Amino acid sequence: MASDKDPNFDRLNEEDHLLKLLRDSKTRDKGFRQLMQRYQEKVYWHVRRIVHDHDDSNDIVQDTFMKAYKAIDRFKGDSKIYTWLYRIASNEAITWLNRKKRRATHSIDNEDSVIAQRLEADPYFDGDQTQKLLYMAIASLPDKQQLVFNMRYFDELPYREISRILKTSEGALKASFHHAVRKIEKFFQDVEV
Amino acid sequence: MKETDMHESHPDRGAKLPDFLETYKQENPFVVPHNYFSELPDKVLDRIKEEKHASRFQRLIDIYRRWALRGILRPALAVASVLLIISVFLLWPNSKEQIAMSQLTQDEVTDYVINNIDEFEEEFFYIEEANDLDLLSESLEGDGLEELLDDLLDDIDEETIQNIL
Repeated sequence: MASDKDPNFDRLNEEDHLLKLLRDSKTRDKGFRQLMQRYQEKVYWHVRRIVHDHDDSNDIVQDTFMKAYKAIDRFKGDSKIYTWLYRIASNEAITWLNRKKRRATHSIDNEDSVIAQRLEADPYFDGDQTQKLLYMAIASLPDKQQLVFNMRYFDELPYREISRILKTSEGALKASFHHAVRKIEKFFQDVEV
Repeated sequence: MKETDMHESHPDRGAKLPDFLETYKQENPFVVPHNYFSELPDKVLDRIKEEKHASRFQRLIDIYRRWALRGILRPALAVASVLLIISVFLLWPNSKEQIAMSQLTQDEVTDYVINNIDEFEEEFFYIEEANDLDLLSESLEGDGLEELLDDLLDDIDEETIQNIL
């Protein structure tokens, strides 16, 4: 039996079953509910760490799954479903960030203080001062570096998977993560000074 | 699915992070509203249903537009064009005839009527007579009456008047 040899067999089998449900119009909604139950939390936290605010994260997560539902027929199955979902969610989150930056072009407020105030006022943020600083430091990174850092640090995804999600070489991702850590360290050192 | 299911061996798994980063690695300072994740699939599926409904309605409008333009309007325009062309061809000879008729003199028309008297309905003459009376009654008002009497007197010689008297 393949399941004796491959520890991922059950998971792969489950994913195949899920895809079958999703590709059949009669069982699509049932399959989609299973897909959401399985991946919604991972996708949500991935988005939340980038945009911070719950309401914004909620909008982006809903849009991510809506897009996935509409595009399910175009999903070829050459990557894992969560890789595909992470890619959609990352694109949605980065698009949201860019839109927000464009809107804030004329703001005289410092970006760090805006993030700090937002986290301060957020009833769904329960972190201490260091955690607030950590999220401010992450927000100061370039968009793609944020994604790499979050996927590696919080989600603990292997570089191979991040490479598939972001379509970037593993070497470039390792360098990106290394630079991100150095920048965050420097951010903390500057704050302490 | 367990978190570890998604992880594969990678070269720098044991790479040392700064202490503060190691400390906060597993801590999540963000929270979500109560029942958020249990309600989320329903919310998304409801949105999908709404969009499907809206897109179905939109599709109906599109079909109607296409139908109106291609199915009805275009053939209607084609039929109207054909009818217009046919009408022009059918009416063209009549127009020529009408122009030719208007060029006839009163005597020619009278001769034609007399020679073809059987082709005219009796009623036609009553109508024509009535029209003549109308014209006469209109012209017999005011100065028109005096002019008519003068013309009649000019046409009648004295001998005729004496015979009548």
